[in-house]
Amino acid sequence: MPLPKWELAGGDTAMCTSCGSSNTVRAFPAILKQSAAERPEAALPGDACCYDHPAKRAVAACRQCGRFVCQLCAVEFGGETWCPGCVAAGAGQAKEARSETTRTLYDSMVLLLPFGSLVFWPALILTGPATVILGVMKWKQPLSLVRRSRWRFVVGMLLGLAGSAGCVWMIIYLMTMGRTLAR
Amino acid sequence: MSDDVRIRYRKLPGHRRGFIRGASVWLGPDHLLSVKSMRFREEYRRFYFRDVQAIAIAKAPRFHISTRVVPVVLMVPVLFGSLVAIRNVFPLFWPVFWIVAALLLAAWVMVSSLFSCRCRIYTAVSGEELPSVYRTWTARRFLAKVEPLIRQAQGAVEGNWAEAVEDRGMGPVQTVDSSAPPEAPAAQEGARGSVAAMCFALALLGSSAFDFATLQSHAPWPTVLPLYFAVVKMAAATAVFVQYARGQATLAVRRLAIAELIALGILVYANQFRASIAAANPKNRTVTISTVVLGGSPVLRGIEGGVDLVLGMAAAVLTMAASKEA
Repeated sequence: MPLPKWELAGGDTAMCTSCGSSNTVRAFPAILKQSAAERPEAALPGDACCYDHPAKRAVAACRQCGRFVCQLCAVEFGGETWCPGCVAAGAGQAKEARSETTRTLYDSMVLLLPFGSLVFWPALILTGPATVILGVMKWKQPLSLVRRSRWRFVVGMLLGLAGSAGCVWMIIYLMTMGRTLAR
Repeated sequence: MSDDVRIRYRKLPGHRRGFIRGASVWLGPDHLLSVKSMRFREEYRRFYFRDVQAIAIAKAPRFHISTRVVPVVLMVPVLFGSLVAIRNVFPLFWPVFWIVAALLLAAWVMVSSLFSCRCRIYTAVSGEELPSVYRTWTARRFLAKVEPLIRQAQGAVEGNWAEAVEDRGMGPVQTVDSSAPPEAPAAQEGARGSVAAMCFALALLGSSAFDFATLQSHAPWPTVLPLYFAVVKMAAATAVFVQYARGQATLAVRRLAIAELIALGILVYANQFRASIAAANPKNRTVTISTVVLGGSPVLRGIEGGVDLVLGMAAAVLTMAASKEA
């Protein structure tokens, strides 16, 4: 979504010219720079050209595969330049430049599984051990980027153990009661 | 990215805590990290200080219910149960309770409509909303923390930036390649005629018709059959989820299935709660807590029938519209 057209209404307030709403807008110098995608970089005769855009002049070579890349294709990270193909494939050192965009939160799964089972508590006899097994299997999986503790794993597995023990106890109790009544 | 393992992020003001979705923004050494979570999955977006073009905050109504209120809501039955017993000791309990509840609701509506906003952050290639910044006071604190860091990285804009960018397209550049073939519709948008969605709609409408037809009946079976209808509805909703995951059902129908399951759960507990209150009444010794989880009260069955009717009709209309589109 591109930035809307604004008119400064004074101070920090900018008026949207489309809907007339009053917005608080903080603009920074990057707004005045032309993006690389807009910059014309036609390759002249004799110039090295981009591997993916033969009409554009190359500005660097990929550190991993050596292909020439134009301004648009160059992925700069850690003072080095990489081509999009190597970054996407995570080839060699180029994987350093690939930002992680998603993570699965196994610790939340382990914590929620026994709690979720309380909706239909007899399911705990299955989900209790499943929680413990899942917790052990996924213990070393990376946590959230912004979360540093594994307490969810610990609490979830303890709840799973408690649930399993409770179910086993109940089964034994019911069996004992059944035998007593039979006598 | 391996560096992320070592980065210690600091939390910025604002945290959206939804029942399924959540969002927050974190501060890294040279970037902002926007985290959008969906129960067991987190999505990350990084906005480097050197790339941020603008942060725009527009006033907008945001009727969001935070999961922080869940403990409060869970406490209500306990409060009810305790105070019903001392109602004679404190006869003004009910009027005071309803007045406080109405005031809290009015405050929530006022804050949601008058003191809420949408915050967007723009770079040359993206314009992303930050869902965690949805109250005006949060937006002020967020800007107070973030703005100096971006200015430190970029400096300040001189003069009237609005005039400077008047003739230029800012934000993400929208390029249209006319030579490219038209984009194929996404699987979830394209596959419309879902059998599961139609079964789901029929289950809801059937249950609704049954509820309304037997609302005043005193026969025992209207209290038992809703349980079977509940099982059918849950099975149909599960089938909708499966078909959605396979790209054969629409997002709207999936949302209806979620809404139906939530309504079903609320009604089950409401029925048990109603029976508990009735049994606790010393004047009413004939009431016993029923083991039937649904269909105990004509009022609740009427509500269930109404919810099923609305959701079922919506599901049917959506499914038929989607079939026509396909």
